[in-house]
Amino acid sequence: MNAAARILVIEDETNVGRTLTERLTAEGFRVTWAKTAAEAQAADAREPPALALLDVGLPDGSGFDLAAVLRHRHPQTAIVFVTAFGTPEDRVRGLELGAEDYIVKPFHFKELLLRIQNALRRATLLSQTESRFERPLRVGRARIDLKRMEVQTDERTVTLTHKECAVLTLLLEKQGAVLARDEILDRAWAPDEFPTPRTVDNFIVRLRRMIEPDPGEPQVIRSIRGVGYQLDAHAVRDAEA
Amino acid sequence: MNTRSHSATAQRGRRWFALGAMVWVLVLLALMSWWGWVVHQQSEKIVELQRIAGVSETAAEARWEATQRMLLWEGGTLLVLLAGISFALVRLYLRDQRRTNSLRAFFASVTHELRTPLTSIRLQAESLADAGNSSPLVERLLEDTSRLEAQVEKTLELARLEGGGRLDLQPLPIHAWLQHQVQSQAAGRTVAIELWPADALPDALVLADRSALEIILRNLIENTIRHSKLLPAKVRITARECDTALVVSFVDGGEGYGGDPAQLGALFMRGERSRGAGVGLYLIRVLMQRMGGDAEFSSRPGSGFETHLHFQRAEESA
Repeated sequence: MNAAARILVIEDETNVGRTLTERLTAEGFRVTWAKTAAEAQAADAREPPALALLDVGLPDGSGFDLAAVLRHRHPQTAIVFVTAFGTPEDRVRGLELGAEDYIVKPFHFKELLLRIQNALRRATLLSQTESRFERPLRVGRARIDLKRMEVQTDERTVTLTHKECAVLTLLLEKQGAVLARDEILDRAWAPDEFPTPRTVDNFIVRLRRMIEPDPGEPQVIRSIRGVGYQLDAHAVRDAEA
Repeated sequence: MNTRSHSATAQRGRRWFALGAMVWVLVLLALMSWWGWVVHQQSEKIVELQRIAGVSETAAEARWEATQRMLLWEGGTLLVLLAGISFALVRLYLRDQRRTNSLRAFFASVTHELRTPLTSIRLQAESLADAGNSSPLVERLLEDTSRLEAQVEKTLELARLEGGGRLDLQPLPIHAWLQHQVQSQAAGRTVAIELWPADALPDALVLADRSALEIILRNLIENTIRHSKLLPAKVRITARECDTALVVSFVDGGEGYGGDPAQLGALFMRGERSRGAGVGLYLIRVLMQRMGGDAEFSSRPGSGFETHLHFQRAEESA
């Protein structure tokens, strides 16, 4: 499906970096290997990758900082952390930075491959659906640019994660109609991520904080008890109209 | 972030320590005041008795001063000794704490450094196996890599938890998770895992940290393989509801444990024929308790080993 996708491997350990590059190339990916954050930024500037496999402990900086830079430059690039730092706090930090996945070393190559394919599948789906919302939209109190994966309010500009973007796109596609939680789960998450209805609820809470005039009394994304959510079609308009 | 949670725990510890020290100083001050009051009272009584006994004023005054000096010296020596011993104990405690912390940090960092070379060994062994060189040598290499990984993981997780590390509890569909994990963790291992009966597992949400749960499952599988009389080793997983908890039981067909069952799950407790470090079962219990549940172990020699994991259930979404 994503056999020709370009992957940027950012890994300072020679043996791990070389073996990953060889094995991913054998799987049909176009792989670039960077040993430092500076090399990664240069490679990213030459050609943005579809996916970045990112180590946290790099010789010239933190992988977390590099992830923020890469996401700012090309929000469409899926980021997957592959690191020896495996505490829950590290995982949460990585995912909060918008990473698609967080894999702790050591790992099985087949598992890594599966997670890469899941991340790329979501990124591809996202780019297809985004094309339907090329122009920036105003939803509630926020200006949403799905192409740049950005939400702007009076106070701040937030870069959306791929999953937040996927959930928002689904709501926009079905604006006015009720969107079931199960449908959101099926389309925005892979089965091996074990999402639960509460996972969807948490994402909705985050989106409400960005777009609702009063997140405590949501009017733009309404809860339909026992079923799912409904985006108020009247709250959506062209941002440049 | 990691540092943040550690420093929060250390700060809590320091706060308790300061509170204890303050209470102890207050106790010493109270003891001092009480002793002063006793000395004063006794001195007055002695003066009174001497007056009744008709002792001359000069002699009475001299005796009164001598008695007061003696009482003050006795009390003062006792209090100085108490304060000195307390100070020495606090110093020893703090020095021991520093040594324990630096040892823990050293082991954690060494173990952490092992993760990257282990990744390299696993990647290359898997490459050999996938390239069609699945000789017994490569299989043994992969098996031993798994054992080393499990050991590293246990040591790191133990150091993290003992250092006050926290878990990330999320609702988890335990049935689906077990089905997926059983497949992936049994792949390439000499173990046969049976979810029995698969459909009877309640499709419930439990509160769990996925990484902690993976460590628990890996430990149980590792134990089963290590203590099995026959290969492939066999594990049967069942689940039942128990009041507000969900109990997942792992029963293996291994050689069991012949020692005192109450010792199971104690830190550094090893069976007579066990090759482990005595950390696995302890870690399982601590992780389950941190997830709001508990772990029970039971075994009889020759009749296998049973682990019952009690999970806290997560509420369904509206």
